[in-house]
Amino acid sequence: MVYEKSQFWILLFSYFRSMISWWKILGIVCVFYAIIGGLTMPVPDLPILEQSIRNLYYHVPMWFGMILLLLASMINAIQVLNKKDLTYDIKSEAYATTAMTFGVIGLLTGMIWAKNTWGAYWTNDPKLNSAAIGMLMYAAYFVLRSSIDDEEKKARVSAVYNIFSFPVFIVLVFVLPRLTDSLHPGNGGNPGFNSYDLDSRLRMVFYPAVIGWSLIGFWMSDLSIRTLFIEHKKNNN
Amino acid sequence: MANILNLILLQAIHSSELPDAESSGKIYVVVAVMSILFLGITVFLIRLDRKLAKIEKS
Repeated sequence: MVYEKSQFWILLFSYFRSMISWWKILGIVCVFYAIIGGLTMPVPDLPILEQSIRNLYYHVPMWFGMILLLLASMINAIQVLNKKDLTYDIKSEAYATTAMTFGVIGLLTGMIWAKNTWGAYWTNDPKLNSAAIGMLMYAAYFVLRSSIDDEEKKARVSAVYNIFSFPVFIVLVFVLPRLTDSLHPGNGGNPGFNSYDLDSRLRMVFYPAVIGWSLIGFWMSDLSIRTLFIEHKKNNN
Repeated sequence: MANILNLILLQAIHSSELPDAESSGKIYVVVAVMSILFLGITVFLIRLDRKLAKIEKS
């Protein structure tokens, strides 16, 4: 039997669909596209950045993914206070943990990029310092969690902390750096990528990369949430 | 004088044509390596996902 090309892809999709959810497949496909397209597709020839502009496809999606995961963490924290259900607390913590993983990777990749374009691993760029403060804020969230023994109390106190942390993190990373001079695009006297050089060639890979890595982040959180649920059930029985 | 300037300019243009990512074609080696790397992570994630689904059912 001879298959059409489209039939092949449908068959492959339904094969994977029988194992995992569709959005996980979408995440895999997007990240593969970002890896292959991100390395081979033409990029604008910019001074200083040159070929390192391709880091846009790998470094920046980490931060986008982190923000989305922190948002999910905050939404679940609100649910903890609304519904008084401990399962939301488990979810909230798992999302925050994955977000921190992405954040650490974002910081490390950013440092390599900074060394090779700005000349130092760490500059006194407001966006860098703000991101570091934001990360420390969430580190304090985990310390706070581990310092309370009572499950109910832990859930409520950390939910309140989480809900307040998220807006502060957004202000630190997206608002304050724009008010001063920053080396990052879109801040201070520096125009954003949108205005001159995030051209259609970059967008073609950048947006799928953001979607893909965010979905992988949600998948990672999904796995740890399910593991924690099993653990929670086991402890209660 | 103009000739010398022209020569310097030509040399500058020439030296700027260093081999970059596209020219040598070896970038595909990196593409293959990174694809296999991510494929491995994907297989790991799918297997873990299915294992968890099995435990959840039982």
